[in-house]
Amino acid sequence: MNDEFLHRLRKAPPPEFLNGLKARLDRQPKLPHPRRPGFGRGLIVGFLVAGVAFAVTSVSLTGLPTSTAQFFSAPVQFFSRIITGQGSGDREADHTQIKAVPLSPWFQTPITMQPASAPESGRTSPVSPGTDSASATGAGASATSSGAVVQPTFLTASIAVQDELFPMIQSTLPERVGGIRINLITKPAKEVFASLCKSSYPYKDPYLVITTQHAAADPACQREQRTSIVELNFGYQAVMLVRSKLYGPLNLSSRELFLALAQKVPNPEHPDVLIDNPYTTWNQLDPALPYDAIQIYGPMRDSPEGRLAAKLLLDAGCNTFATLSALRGRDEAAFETACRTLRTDRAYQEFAPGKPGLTDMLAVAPTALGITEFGTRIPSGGLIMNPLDGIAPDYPAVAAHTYPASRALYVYLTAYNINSLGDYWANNILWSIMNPWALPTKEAGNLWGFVHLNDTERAATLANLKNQKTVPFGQRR
Amino acid sequence: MIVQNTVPDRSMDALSTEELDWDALYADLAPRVFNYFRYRLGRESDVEDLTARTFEKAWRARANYRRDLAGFSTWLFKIAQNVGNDYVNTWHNHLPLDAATEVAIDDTPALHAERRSDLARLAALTATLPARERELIALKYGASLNNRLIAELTGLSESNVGTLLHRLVKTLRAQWYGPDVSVCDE
Repeated sequence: MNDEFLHRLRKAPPPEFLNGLKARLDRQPKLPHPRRPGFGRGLIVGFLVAGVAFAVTSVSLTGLPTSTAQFFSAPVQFFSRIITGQGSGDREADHTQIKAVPLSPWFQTPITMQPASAPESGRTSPVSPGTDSASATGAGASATSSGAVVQPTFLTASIAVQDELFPMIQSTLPERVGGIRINLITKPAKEVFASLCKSSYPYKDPYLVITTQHAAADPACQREQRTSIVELNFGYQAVMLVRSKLYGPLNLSSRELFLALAQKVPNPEHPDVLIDNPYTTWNQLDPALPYDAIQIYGPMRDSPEGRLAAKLLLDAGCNTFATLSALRGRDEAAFETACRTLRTDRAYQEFAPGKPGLTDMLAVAPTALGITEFGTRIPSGGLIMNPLDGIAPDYPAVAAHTYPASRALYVYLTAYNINSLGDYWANNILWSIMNPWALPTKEAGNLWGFVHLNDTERAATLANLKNQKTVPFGQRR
Repeated sequence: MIVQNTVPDRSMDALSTEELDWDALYADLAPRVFNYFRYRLGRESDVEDLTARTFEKAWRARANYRRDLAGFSTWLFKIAQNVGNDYVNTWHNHLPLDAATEVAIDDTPALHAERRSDLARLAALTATLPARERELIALKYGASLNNRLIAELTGLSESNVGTLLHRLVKTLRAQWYGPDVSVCDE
């Protein structure tokens, strides 16, 4: 007896599988043989790295050089002082160093504690109702006659932020802007306008509201019909689908994408009944689509990125089903389950956003789709951006609200609040949010999916603030 | 249809021509990679997917393949091993999607069912074995590789591979046919 019983279990692959795979392989271009880096290239790279290191060292030691000789001699002198033990005693050299200076009053700079002054301490605070009187007055650290140090207090401005935007705004805004402390308050979407629109006192809390929604569409604001609310678009959130260049883009509609991604979908025979997503291949959604397994790589389902991707990618498709769309506002829990929950089987596979690997995964699985934030740099020759509803994910489409997987973000504040501190401070805080060159104050990952305005739109937003362009109630955008 | 055991020596690795015959390589290696995954996973689902991944990955990178370092089948099965490892390490918690989409094969339902049940039986027997031993079974009997290639892929010595396989087959044979069947060594 031999080991024939083990060989006997082999079987031939299905011919259609072999033929299909062969056809796909034949369509792959043969890549040119990669050139191995030669000694010369390594030498050039080495010189460049060394040169940059030398320049950084020189500038950090002496500041901007006044002459070429100083530029080259500074590191040599510094290291010679260290070696000879004279480095620590040279106090005079410190005075010649060029210190960092704030780039502008709008960038985050440490706030120097100033002694309390009469005009500021006596200032009534239209920006801080809802805070106690102590925090509504400006003051600084000072010593009393008994010698006890009095902790500084600051003017405080409250900002109501829609809960899902809270991490992003928290990462963007510094703790103080223009000397005024920022107090962020998180609000659910339904209540974010409540104070701004319902308040009988215009200067009541909050100073401004940050949300994804239109005040003109909010029931509370519509009832109040306030005419002094200023609406400012400060950016967008958008995600996009990418795919290997090998087989070209997959022409998907929002509805098909919903049916491919959602955990539960309407039963085709009884649209009122939701069933677990049964679709495994694209041609089940539309016979014109290829017979390829539905395979989508995206962020972790429970992460902020995953929730944002689910919302942006599923919303448009969900709205094409009347039964699902009707759940919005009527049964929020059911709506979340039906319209904002990604499927949990292998058709959706998670990867950690921000880490390399999506390109490799899509290279290995060229029929798969990947979800990434708008503006992600696409490696040349590897991936292409996949359109949705025939619309490519570019900035004009996002700004025109025609690209389905995107939404605009808004700041609302009253004309009274702008006038109370002057538009200079409102300008400062708005700039802190939409400054495209600012580094995040906390976790950069919270900015996933955020799209900065371009120069034209940014200028328009600042002009709208200056002109106090108010919300046109009565007409829904 | 049962696939005949392939003869490892007829692999394209032995060729010395500058240009490999990719069609012939595909025809030779696709069934072997397919069966390698069947034996390694012990089931039919996902096998086509993993086979396709292996070949697409290999074909995209074939310009980087260097014949002076390894034979093509060694290189391809190294990719297959990595694809299999990624699958086992990353996706083992997921349910297979394509259980319902298996393509029918051109043998009788009875033979097919018998083979599937045999495959499940083999999977049950090898489930208790260490990963290295399961890999040896898949490479030897699924991919029909010779001991020399298996040694290259696993980092073991050729004689060690032979010894391990001999013991494994002996154990499996005893379990397969039951304790009452006498087992004689070759």
